[in-house]
Amino acid sequence: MEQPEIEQVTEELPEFGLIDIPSED
Amino acid sequence: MSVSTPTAWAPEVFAPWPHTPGALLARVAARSTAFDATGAGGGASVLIGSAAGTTAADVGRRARGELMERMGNVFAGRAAEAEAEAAAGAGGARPPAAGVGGVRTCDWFALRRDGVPAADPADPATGPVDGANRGVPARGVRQLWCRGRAAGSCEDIWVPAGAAFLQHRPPPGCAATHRAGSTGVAAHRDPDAAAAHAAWEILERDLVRRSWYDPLRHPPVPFDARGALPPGASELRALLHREGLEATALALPAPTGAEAVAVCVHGPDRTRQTFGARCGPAHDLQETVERACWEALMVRWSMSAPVAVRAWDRLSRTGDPRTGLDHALWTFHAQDALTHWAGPATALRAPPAPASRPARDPGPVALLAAHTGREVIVVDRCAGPPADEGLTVVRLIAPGASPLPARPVPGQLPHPFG
Repeated sequence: MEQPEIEQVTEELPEFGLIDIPSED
Repeated sequence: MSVSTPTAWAPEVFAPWPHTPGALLARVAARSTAFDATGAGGGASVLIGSAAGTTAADVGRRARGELMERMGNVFAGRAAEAEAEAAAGAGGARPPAAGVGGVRTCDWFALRRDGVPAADPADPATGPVDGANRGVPARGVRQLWCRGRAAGSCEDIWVPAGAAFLQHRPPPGCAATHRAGSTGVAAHRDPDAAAAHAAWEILERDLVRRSWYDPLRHPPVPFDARGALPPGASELRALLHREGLEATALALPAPTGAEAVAVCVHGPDRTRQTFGARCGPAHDLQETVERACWEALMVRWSMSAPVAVRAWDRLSRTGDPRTGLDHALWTFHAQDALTHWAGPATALRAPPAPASRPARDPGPVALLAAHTGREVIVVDRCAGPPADEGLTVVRLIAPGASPLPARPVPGQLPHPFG
């Protein structure tokens, strides 16, 4: 399988909220 | 204040409370078209790992581990999906046979005809259903299956890919009967340690869910968390004091050998509540309370993150929590979940007496199986960067135990966990 491109998020990291990813999220 | 700079999945460790520089958060995130949008990422295709505590190495390790477990599970799903597509593209009118490759596309009846043991997708206990297929007769749904094994007997048992992989994308011609969340996924170099971590997490969410949705049958015992912290938790005590916060712990009914605690951090008037939870061995009450408290503080700090501010702008108009972030925001801004769940402040009691260490420790996977009365299923598949590092990522499926739903439950207040 060709692996999709993946990158570490740096600049936008402070935008995000920080327990779970619910099944419907 | 930044303590480290992110490189190669190294988390950023920072001290968000200037008056208590020893209280730390760690965060690390990855972006890929392989990921679906999440609420905490503000709708971006990112996966996030995070942790809170007082030791930079510890919070960094846990945040990175959380990202790795989620990433490894999503990429394992993508690999299984690609394997099924490749088999179909190779003229695979005959799908990959059971026992080869570990994936197969068919309905449940086909597996039964071939004598392949498989989790019944029509059994409500198998896991969270995919909303797009709610009400569809599940046994006849053509879908991707992957091979797991029963934790007790070690015999093969096949499970729907939607129950095994976070953010599963059904291959062409397939649907999905299930849609799993992150509960029950864990990463470690030692597969048994990964399975143990996942089992505690599943048990925690199930005990929280049972008590929140039916507190008369599964009553919580509320007590002041600050009086039940380890003697060395000085940074945590200082942070609560300087922020003017109280912390109420709820001991939740748990099977013998386990201890489950939810902690609500709130103002003196019980406004602005955020929750954390922890489940662990029954003789570790102080550490269990401390970890749940840090979790509640991390969620509380996130309530002012830009994506949370934007999400609340929408949620305050709709009043309809739909994501984990929404649930945390709704509780923080609009709901006295603590009093609803455990009664008023006058109901506080003394912390539970510490349980004695059991003579024989069955371990969390066996404890979880005893709790549900059903065999726990292990899916041990990992791909992407975590696999490159030699990590094991497992998904545990525990029929009979359920995670917290993000969608509304009719007749119930939204649960308070983010």
